[in-house]
Amino acid sequence: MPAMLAIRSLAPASTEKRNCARLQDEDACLLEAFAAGDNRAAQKLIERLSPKVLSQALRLLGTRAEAEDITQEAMLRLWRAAPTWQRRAKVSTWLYRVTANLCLDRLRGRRNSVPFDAVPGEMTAGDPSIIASLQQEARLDALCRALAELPERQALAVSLRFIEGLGNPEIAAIMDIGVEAVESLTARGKRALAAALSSKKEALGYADE
Amino acid sequence: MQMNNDRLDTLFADLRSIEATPSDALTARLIADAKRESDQLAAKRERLADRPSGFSMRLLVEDILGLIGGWRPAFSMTASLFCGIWFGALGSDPAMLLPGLGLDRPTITLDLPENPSELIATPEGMTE
Repeated sequence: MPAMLAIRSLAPASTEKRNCARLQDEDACLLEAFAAGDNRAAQKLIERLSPKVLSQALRLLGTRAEAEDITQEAMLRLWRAAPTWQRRAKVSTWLYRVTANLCLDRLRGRRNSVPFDAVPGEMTAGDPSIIASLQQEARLDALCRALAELPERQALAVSLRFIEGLGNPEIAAIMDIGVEAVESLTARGKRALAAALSSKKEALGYADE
Repeated sequence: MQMNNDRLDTLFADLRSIEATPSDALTARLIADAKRESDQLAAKRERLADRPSGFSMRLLVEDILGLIGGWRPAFSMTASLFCGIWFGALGSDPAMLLPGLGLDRPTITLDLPENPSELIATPEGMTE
């Protein structure tokens, strides 16, 4: 009959455990448990995944407030994908892609530079390193804005490779492309970033050697 | 001069070193979102469970109407169906429709002469 929603029937617990062990993706099992009505599974997923998502967002956006917004949006999309979750990808790799795309979209929508308040280290008033820290913030902000100007696939590949530090095979799985394609995208993306930032070298405080 | 790779790699390394821990407020928001989505899923499951499992003519009619697009298209299709049956039952001669429409009796009567040439008017002075 039309208009019938597809609801996965609950498998016996022993079958589910065997499936999880075979899949070696505990996150997928937790997600399926959440879809079946287990709220404790959601809490476990939040504990496991939200720090990674928040860190990834903070690296790209630089501000805590925006990173938290993106984290909330990414996790919301995960809950909504739960009922129809297909076990073709790992939950973490799916989240990497969703978070990166949300961050890059947010970066493209930025009109003005935003202070990059995620630079590691502490500053105190009168500290001579304040100038250095501010300069570093400006450089990181310029890098992320240049990243957002790249073509979408290049930007995603470069952010996953050089900012998240993932390997090419993992990036290939996330983007659903071949490893050679990843290498090509990252090489071209890095060259494009270097070209984009070279015009701002002096403004960013890089003296010619 | 191009930005060299070392400087770019240094910037990337600085970004990679950034780590964050969710605050309690963020965690609470995430849990609240999960609870809300879970409640919506549960409500959907209950709506489906309330549907009768046995055969129901009312539900069958509702589903068919849903497929067709509503009552109006259903009436149009029904009217077309009856017209089709009517034409089919009366055969291919459209004149069979005339009795029902009252057009089987002519309204104008013409008395035609036996010699059709009498119909042709001959102007005065012309010979055939």
